[in-house]
Amino acid sequence: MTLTSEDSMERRIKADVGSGNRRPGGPRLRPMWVVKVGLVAIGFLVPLVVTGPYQRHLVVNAAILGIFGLGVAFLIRRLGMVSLGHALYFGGAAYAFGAFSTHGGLDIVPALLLALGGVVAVALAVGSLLVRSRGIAFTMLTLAFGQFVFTLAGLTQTRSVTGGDDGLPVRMNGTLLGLTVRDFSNPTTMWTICWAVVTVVLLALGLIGRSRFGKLLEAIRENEERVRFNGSNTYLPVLVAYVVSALVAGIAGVLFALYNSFLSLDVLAWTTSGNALIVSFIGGCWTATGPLWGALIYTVGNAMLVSGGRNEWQLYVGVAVIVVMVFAKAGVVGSLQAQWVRRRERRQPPVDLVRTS
Amino acid sequence: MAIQLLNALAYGSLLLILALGLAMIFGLGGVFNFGHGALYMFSAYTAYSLSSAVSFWLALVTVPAVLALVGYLVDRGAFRFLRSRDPIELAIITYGGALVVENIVVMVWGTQPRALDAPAPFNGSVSVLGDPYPSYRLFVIVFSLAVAIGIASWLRYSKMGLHVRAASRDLRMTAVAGVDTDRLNAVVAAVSFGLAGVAGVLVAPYATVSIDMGARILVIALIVTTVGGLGSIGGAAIAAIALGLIQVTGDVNLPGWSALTPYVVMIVVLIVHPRGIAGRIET
Amino acid sequence: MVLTVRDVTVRFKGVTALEDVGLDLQRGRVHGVIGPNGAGKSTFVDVVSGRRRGGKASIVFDGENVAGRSVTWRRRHGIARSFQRTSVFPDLTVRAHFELVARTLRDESVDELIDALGLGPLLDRKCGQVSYGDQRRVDIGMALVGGPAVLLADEPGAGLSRSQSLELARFIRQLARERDMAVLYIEHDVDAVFEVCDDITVLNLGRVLMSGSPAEVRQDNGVRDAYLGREG
Repeated sequence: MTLTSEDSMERRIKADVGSGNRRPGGPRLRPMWVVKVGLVAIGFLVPLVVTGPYQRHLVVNAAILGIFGLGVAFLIRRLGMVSLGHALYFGGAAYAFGAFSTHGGLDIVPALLLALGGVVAVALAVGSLLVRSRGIAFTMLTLAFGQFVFTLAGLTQTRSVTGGDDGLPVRMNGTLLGLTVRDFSNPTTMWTICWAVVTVVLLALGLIGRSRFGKLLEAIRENEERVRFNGSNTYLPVLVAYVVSALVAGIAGVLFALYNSFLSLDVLAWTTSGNALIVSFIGGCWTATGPLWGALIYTVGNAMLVSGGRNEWQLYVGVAVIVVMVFAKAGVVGSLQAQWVRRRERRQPPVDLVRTS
Repeated sequence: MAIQLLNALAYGSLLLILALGLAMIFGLGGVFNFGHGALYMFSAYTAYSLSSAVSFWLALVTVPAVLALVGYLVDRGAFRFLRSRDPIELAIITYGGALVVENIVVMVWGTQPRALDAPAPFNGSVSVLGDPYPSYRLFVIVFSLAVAIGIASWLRYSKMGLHVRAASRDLRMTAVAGVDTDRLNAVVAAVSFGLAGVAGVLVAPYATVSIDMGARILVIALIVTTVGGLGSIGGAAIAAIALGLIQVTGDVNLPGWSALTPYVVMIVVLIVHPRGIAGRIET
Repeated sequence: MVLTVRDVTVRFKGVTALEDVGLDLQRGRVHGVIGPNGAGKSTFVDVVSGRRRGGKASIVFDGENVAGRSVTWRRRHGIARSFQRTSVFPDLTVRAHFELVARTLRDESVDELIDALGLGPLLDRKCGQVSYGDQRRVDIGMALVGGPAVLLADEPGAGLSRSQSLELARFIRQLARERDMAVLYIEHDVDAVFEVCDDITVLNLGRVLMSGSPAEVRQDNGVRDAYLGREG
């Protein structure tokens, strides 16, 4: 069994989605843009609809988890590479931010920048070892790296930095855009920040996807060897994509630390990586916004089903993962989109997606 | 020193049993079974209850057998229809399965860790070079190694084992050669599940039984598979024992840091062997 | 001599796939390699293109032995290859295929190449949706971007009808002449090889059975026994 990019699951999933998630070119683009700008604007108004503080808390959590998912899904969508170790960047950035603020006494802005810079540096180092492997081997190695850092953070020797099992209360100094600790723990304010970040991340990842670099990644995913025969180096682009994905996860981690101002080792555990993966797959990795919807479903579902001391949440998640992977690989959003596209394209001649490679 | 060596052997042989089960499924279809750790944990809890109610020895016989049957049925009833899927998709499905199994354990046993006394006649200790040593650990070593040798011989000398080895090299060609690879997959799943059962039952009187035991050891077993599985069961055995040894002696000399050794070993192997896992079963 | 290949020996676990195979490629000429299945034709292309490294081989390109160089290096310095099976990227447009390569190799004249290949009308179609023959053209086209000195064409006619395959062979010869490019042409269809090639090397069981002009090869008894005879 070879684990080359030729086996990449997206190909098959694309077959499910049809030629779906690509916009037809030309002037028809413009209404789409109006809709998108409108959606971004409406997003900022969410607190008008979601009025309860607990509900607001949920949507903020969903946004943070969703951004994390966007980072993980980026690698899946563009390269077919599934990471199960991105808690390293999510939790790592959160802890780095926490440590720089609490122990280093740095202001929010430098702490935040240093944390994200650290994520990029670590992603470059770890990635330079990881990105030569593909398929399940990559997944397993990311898992091992993630666990390495998780174990490291839990050692008694690092307790003075991480707080160990007691967790790390983050003491923040100074302000960011005039906002202080108190504002960050307010879900209404935090929603605005998160939504702005969601918008920027979506825009950035979308631009990368549509750029030449994005095309190159897609080509590597579909047939890496052929790309090399085109004279392109394939190591560096994959490494850059890995770093981008890690950075997005790191941004989510910093948001998490800002909002909660308390960190526990859970944020580094592989189940945290797993959650990002789950929301990506449930929402759909192959659409731009799938992970966000997945995160919303996950967070709200969790709140609704775990009330009253019942302890069956994992069971539902497990079943949902299985059902989605078996019957709707494109995820909830991806499948709905495929339905819609299929209906719209009914008049066009069927596309032959069977390939001979 | 002898005591440390024995502890390393005991821990390493348990790892080996787990890693073997992982490696067999991986070798055949390239699928990493994330549910393996959950099955191990489930078996440990079941062994705890069965031992308390009836007998540990009953658990040691029935739990692996029942798990093997479950493995056979899961493969025949579900995975058979998903064979054409990408191995990563299948791995994610097993991840979902792990969550389900874990939750079932929580629903049945709660989240309290459990401890089980070693069963008679291994509830005492024997003298090893003048030091007392729990005899149950010796039993774990002997039993696990016997199981590992049994699996290795099965792969090496039986016709079925030959087919498994062939299919691990090239599943399609083996099917073309007239081997019923569907049945082969089911048998391998049964053996793999059974091995998780053996390890789970064996560990129950040896270490604390807890909900996170499966997830924790899964990654270590994965590392054993990666490091040693670059070829052979023999390699996995050496890797398991070596990891056990490094960890146990490290616990004494470098408390804390030794927990990192499996990962360091893995990273070193990764640098030397960037393509990582070969995942082929050979003996 | 733009490319001189000597002593190519490849062994897979004790089985010798190629033994001391060599040949010369000249600019503007098409050098065909024929041989029965399992003769080692594709393995030979793999060695020359860099897909398979290690083992014994001397590949002298413009006076430098490039046997240790990577695929990427060879492509950038003028040894291009097309594939036996179509190896396009199904979800990218035809245009994106050419842009990808053109940017890497800094080739400004891709439009001209696209016109020569007759792919102009298909530029905005996804490659997975154009016909098999057109996919082959895209594949060969990608190999031609940057004006390589050497084109290694591994069974470009595979999967095409006889007449399509012959048409493609003639097109490749025309490219060799117009672009003063050396072509290594591996093909199953012996008629096409005899029609378009200037030199032919016959492989059998991993060795060079003979090498020469099409006329010489056609008259050789050994070749007839080993290969041509069976084809009728």
